[in-house]
Amino acid sequence: MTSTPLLEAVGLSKRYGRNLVVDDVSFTVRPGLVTGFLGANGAGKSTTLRLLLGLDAPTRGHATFGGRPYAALDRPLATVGALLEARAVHPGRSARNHLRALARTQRLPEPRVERVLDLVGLRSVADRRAGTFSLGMGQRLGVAAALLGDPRILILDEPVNGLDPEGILWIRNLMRDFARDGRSVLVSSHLMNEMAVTADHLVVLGNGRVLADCSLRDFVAGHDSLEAAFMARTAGTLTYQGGGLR
Amino acid sequence: MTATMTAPAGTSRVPALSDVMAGEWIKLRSLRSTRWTLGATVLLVLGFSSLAVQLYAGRYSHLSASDRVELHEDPISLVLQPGMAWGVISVCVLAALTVTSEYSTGAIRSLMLAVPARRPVILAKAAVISLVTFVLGDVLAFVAFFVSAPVINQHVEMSLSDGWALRAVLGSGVFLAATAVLAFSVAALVRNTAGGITAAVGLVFVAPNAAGFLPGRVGNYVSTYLPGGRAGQMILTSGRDTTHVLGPWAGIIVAVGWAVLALVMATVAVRRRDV
Repeated sequence: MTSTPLLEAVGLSKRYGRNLVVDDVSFTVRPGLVTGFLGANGAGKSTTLRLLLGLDAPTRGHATFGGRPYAALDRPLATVGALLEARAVHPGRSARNHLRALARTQRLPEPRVERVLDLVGLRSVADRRAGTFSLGMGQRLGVAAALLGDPRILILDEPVNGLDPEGILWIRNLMRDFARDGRSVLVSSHLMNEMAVTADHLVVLGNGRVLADCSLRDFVAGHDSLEAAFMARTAGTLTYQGGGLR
Repeated sequence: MTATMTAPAGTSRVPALSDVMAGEWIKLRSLRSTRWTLGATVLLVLGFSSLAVQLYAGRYSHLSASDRVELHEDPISLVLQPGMAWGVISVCVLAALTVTSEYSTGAIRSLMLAVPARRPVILAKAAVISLVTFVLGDVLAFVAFFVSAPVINQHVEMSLSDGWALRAVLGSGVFLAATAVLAFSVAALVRNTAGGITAAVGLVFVAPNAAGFLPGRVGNYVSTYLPGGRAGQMILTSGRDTTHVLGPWAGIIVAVGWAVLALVMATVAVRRRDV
């Protein structure tokens, strides 16, 4: 368990044209912890997550789950559950059929679909077309898809976006329970206060590079808040291109 | 709460191609656009088939001598060709949508997280759409045949015990499936719904007709051999018309060849590109 981390990124880089969006990013995700993936908008968080999951091909470096690249995983949804964007669903398809189709590719039993629908509270609207869902309901459907295979790692990209306070609390508890269960969570966010109450460990990204990889407590030490610590540590890395208002 | 299952013996990796196909089958059945496009195909094929049969065989006494010769040589193409030539439009829309709607909605990423090896994604989609359109094509051809046979048989002998008639009816499914795979592959290369449908319909409906206007034999050759060209429709004929560039078997081989080539190109592109 300690020899092969659940998730390991080694020297990940991604170049789009002349822009190095992700620059030599290495980190590991350990069991039993919520790892916060923190950075400003455009710091390269989402791209890094897409590199981990094989959706984008890295220019350099690699990522492994228990020693194997994502594409080599047997029944990947049983190892990794990912929520990358609120809308990764055909709007004309019902929530239930969306999940049934995914479950079938992994040879998961049909009752598992009903189980995750219950978990995210969408059972009563499961036969409605996903296009009629609110942003929050869409986010819950994304979480249902992530939980479908009963994975060992959850990877969530800005999961609280568009959620109401109740939904935010629900996601937070879900992540805490998941980690307490001995599993891992990697959650990206640019919301400091949310991270401060959710994460145990932080990987901080700025301009595509890892600025810090340490416990939340160590990161905040000497500052009033996570926000203050973040601002102090990332000062100078927030370079916005373009001339501002014209 | 554990969802872990042991895979059946003999299968090493999940998802296997059959698992992805089963998932795609659930997805295809669960969309309204599938019902709309399949319904449109039924109307187009049967509608244009009956129209053509009524306009020619139904007005036999008004036909010119050359039209009568043509009808005697090739009654089955009158039953199948006009309907199938129009039916490919909605088949192209259906085939293109199975891939472009996933790119436009982001659903493709849900799928590729579940099936990270990308070849099965493309092959399973192509397999499901080709099976559906193959069955649809054969069923519609049989229906069109039995609806038209009484009208045709008043003037020309035509029965499924004739090898050429049976070949054309069964070949209709192959023709629709090859067209669907070509349209699907082109759409997978383009990824965008409007662009994918335009490109696919342009290839199988517009280009062969436009090329037909080229002078002399050139037009005939070009409109036959183009991807999505008239080669595939040769399977819908009796094969006794010697003015055709290709016979039924050669024609369908050309059409299937284009479909396979396009599918290979789409698979290579999808494997290389970021999603």
